[in-house]
Amino acid sequence: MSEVKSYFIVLKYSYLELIKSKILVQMIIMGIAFVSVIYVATEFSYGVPHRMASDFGLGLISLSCVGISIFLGVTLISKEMENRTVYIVLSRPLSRTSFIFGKISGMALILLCNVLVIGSLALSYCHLLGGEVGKVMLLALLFTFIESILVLSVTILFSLLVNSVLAVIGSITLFIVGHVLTDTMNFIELRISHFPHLIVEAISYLLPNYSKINFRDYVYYDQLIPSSYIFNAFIYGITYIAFILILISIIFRNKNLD
Amino acid sequence: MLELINISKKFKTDFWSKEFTALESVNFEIPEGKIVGFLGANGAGKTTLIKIIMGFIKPNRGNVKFDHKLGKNRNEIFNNLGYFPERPYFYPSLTGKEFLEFVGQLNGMKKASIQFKVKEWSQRFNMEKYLDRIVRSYSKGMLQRLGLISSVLHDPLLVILDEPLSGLDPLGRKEIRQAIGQLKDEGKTVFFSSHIIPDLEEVCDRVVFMESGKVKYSGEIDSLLSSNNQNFKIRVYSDCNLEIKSNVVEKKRTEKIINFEVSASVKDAFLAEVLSQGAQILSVSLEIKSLEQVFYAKENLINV
Repeated sequence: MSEVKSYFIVLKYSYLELIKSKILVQMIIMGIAFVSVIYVATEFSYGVPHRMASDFGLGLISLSCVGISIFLGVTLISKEMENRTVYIVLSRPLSRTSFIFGKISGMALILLCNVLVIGSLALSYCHLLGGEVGKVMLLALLFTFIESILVLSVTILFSLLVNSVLAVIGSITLFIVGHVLTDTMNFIELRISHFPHLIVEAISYLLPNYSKINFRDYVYYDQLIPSSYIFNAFIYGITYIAFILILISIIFRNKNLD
Repeated sequence: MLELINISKKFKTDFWSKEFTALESVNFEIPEGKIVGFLGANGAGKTTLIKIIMGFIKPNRGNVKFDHKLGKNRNEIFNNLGYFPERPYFYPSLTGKEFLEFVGQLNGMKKASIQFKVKEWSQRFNMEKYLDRIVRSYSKGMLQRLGLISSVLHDPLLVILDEPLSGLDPLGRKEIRQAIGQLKDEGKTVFFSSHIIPDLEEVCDRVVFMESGKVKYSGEIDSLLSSNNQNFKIRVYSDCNLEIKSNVVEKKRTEKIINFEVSASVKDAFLAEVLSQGAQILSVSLEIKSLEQVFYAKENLINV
């Protein structure tokens, strides 16, 4: 049994377990609730309800994905260890790396479903109000998905090192910091001297910079995006996720499962 | 099949606390084709040792040696190994069937083979009608049975069970004990832990007894029972006072009937003494100590 095959088996049954836990139903209900919120929001708009719909819609999609990544992600591995299901699986001929990557991929599929379900509902409503679902909006959805995978990876990394509460707090903190990082750097450049600025810059490279993969602003302000920027953001997101996954694999491989 | 060489393990409950020793220089082996019971009170270190065997935690010292028949690398060995954890828990939203398909596929089994084995084992454990229900709805006994099926589905050579009889009703315990016996008949090696001695005595060939992280005894149950003093209970009827020179213990006396506890070594001399004084021997019976009695008198443990 190859490791790749084991990975896909874990992925399949992790996804199945999550789907059967009625998360998809909850997503649809959440999507309908969001559309209701968007409807109320558009009533307060003046002349551009479709803009309100797209702005609110993208914001709510991001919020729901990040919420799922943090609050379900924090228990993805820790619950397996608490409930000892990890023993039953790891007593089979598969590596810990295949197991953990399979679990993460199963959750990633759920996040994709979330983006597609809520995204479809929100954007359909936007289109109904006369808005155009353009390339920028679709890019924003794609990068929302990448952002949620990054949040999920960071959360799981924390959950392997600290308890669930600290992992949630850490992930939320890093999410907020990651979004204000670029603006903070620009602000600091004007205010502090060279050496502290270098330290802050070094930290900014270490922490996940979520603002680099946030394309919602381009939708909000209806801006064109250079292709090189899209490419760089994609590479940044994927590389950072890969880096976190490698860390997760190393930690989990050496962790005492007691 | 499996050998544990000088395994030691220490734990720290938190950063500031002192280390405590969970296992100390544990050495024993599990021979092929035998049922070996792993006995010890709660907190003796049984589960810790089993986790070390399964690679879930690393020992501070020592190693675990698997027989070459199980395989050359980790994947091969674990394909020939079945494991059942203490107080198992399964994915609650999957059905029993889905869970067994999951673990069967991880062991490289084909779908048809999984279906055949699931049917075979579920019939043995009366689980067939429950397999389409989600695991969340299972009782404790059903979870134990499901766990046991998952551990033997892929036809392993070595089966390691951690407290498989825990929480079961008497009928359930009987079924599991019978299943363990059947595994031995099929040529498998079984290593299972329990803190209930009569269960072990009924099915096991060998026993490993652990206390406070140390192995107190490892060997055949029959040898252990026979090597401990087996006494005779002798009832004697006498009209007059008997003068007994043999080293015996008088257990009970009514008017003319006396009960003696006599060791095997002095039995013949004692009988001759009693008969020479005109007393009558009413009965002679061998007092066979159970495993439970032997272990409760721990100073009598002799390692074979």
